[in-house]
Amino acid sequence: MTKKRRFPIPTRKGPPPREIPPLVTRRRLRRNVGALLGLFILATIVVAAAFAPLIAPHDPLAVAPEAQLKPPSAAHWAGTDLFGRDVFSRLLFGGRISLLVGVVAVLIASVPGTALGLIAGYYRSWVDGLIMRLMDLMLSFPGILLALGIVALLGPGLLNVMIAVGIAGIPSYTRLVRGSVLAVKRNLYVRAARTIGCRDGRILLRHILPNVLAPIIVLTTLDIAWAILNASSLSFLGLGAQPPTPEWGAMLSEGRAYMHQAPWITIAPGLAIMLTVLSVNLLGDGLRDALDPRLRT
Amino acid sequence: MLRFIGKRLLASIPVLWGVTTLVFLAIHLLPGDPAELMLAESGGSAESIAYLRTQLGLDDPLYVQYGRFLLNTLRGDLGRSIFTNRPVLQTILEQLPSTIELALAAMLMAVVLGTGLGILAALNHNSWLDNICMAIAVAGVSVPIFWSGLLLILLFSSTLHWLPATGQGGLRHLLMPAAVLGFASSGTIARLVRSGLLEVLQKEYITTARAKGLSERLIFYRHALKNALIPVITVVGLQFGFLLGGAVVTETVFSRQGIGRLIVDAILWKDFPLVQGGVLLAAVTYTLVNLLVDISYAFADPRIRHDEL
Repeated sequence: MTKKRRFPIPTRKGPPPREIPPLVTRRRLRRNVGALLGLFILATIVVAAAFAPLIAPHDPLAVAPEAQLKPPSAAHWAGTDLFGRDVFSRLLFGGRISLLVGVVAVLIASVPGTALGLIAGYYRSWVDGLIMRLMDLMLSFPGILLALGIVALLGPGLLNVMIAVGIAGIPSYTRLVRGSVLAVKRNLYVRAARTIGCRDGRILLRHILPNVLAPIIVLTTLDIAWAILNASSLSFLGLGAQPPTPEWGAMLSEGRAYMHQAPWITIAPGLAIMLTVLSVNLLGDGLRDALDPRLRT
Repeated sequence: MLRFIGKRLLASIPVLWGVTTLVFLAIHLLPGDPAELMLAESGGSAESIAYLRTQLGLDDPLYVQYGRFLLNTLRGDLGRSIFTNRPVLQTILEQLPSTIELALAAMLMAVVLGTGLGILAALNHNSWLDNICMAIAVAGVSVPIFWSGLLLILLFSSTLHWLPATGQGGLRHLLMPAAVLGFASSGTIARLVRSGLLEVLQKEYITTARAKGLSERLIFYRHALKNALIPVITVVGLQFGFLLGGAVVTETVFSRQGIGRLIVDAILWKDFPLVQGGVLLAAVTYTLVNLLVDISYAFADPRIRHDEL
């Protein structure tokens, strides 16, 4: 005689699961011309920055008074700056800094932001209230003003800019993750995990986090663009990378005074920032469309 | 409606209090003595540091300092600038009109350009025109303001001599900064208008309007566009924050007066009372603008105030 089941096995009824198989995501991404273009430009920039010591024709810091403010030529592809330094070589090395700043700032934003969002969404009650009110407060500071305020406290410098831009980015992750957790935690597998005695930490990291990862990936990608743009803005204002560091925003700021005689010093790093930010944005948009077409704008 | 406005006004009080507290705490959370930090650059002597400590009341317990800060802020006293010794509020209020002028002009540009691009893209969905409009929108959010500003100066001031590169006063001085800032903001609006229109155009009331035999033009302007533009009001509020932040860079590029440039200079001089006051005032302005947006949203969409009450 077969033993009667005490609990019915849940059948797959109701709305289809939110998750999209990786294969579908990849196929959708491959069809998106903008995303592919973004990926191609970004990959080129990353490779150029990674192999900067091999590709760069000159030392980015080598001063050559005789080659001051030279226009682009075969010897100096993007011309030279006030100190005779090769702008193209500085661009390549600057790419390393800008990409690093973008990635580190986003890590500083996404890791605590995601953790806070998981806690707020999972535990609710006063913890949720406290975290979300704090996030609301941080969002009350417009634009890059929060980052500016933090730089004011920490002092100018590249590391402080990364921290400032990172902290200013935390609330968007907390809000996004909290919302997703609220939806995911109602699922049967979360209740099942709790029933079999899983601890909260395990439920959060093994059952909830993987299921809220898609929107986090999209936000992280788009955020890298935002972080690079803001960090270079702060460097442009003299609050980030300090001379002679070849950071794109700082290079642009240095070249500003010689814009009329030597526009290449400002045009080249600006173009580099724009291309990087544009490629990350295109890729992020493509990822969003591929992972969740409902969010498509 | 009055109840709705009252509720919104009351809800913004804790936010304003929280922002004030955060601004106060930020300076005290740092390790080290704020007076020493402020005078570090200029190499202040022990006496000048002690004098600044007494002047700023840093020797009192934290709760006394906090109480005093709250009371003074309520009275509109944000302290004095360390370097000019002028009242912070007065210094900021002198710069405020210039920033507001820039932000409003940029907002106008962003709304006109963003809405235009969004409508054009939605009406030509999935065509080359749609792609071009969206490419312009992505470019808008990707171009660094300081770069586009310098390029415009190079083109319209240095080469063509049409517009003044820097300075203050009149439409000619405002045109380039507003265009740069507005273009950066228009991308977000364009994408929102496009997606809003595409969604609304699929609604049943549009089908009904078509079935009634209304002209496409009437359907578009009276039924679709009106509804698609409602979310734009919210974004305009949020974008105002972006514009206030963007003004920091724009004012520096075009050497304009304004709160943004004042804050950057204050940071470089380590003039903490001025930074504190500037950031606080910007946050308060942003909160109040969003309050206005909330209220105007309720005017535009009656469903909102009915849901709230």
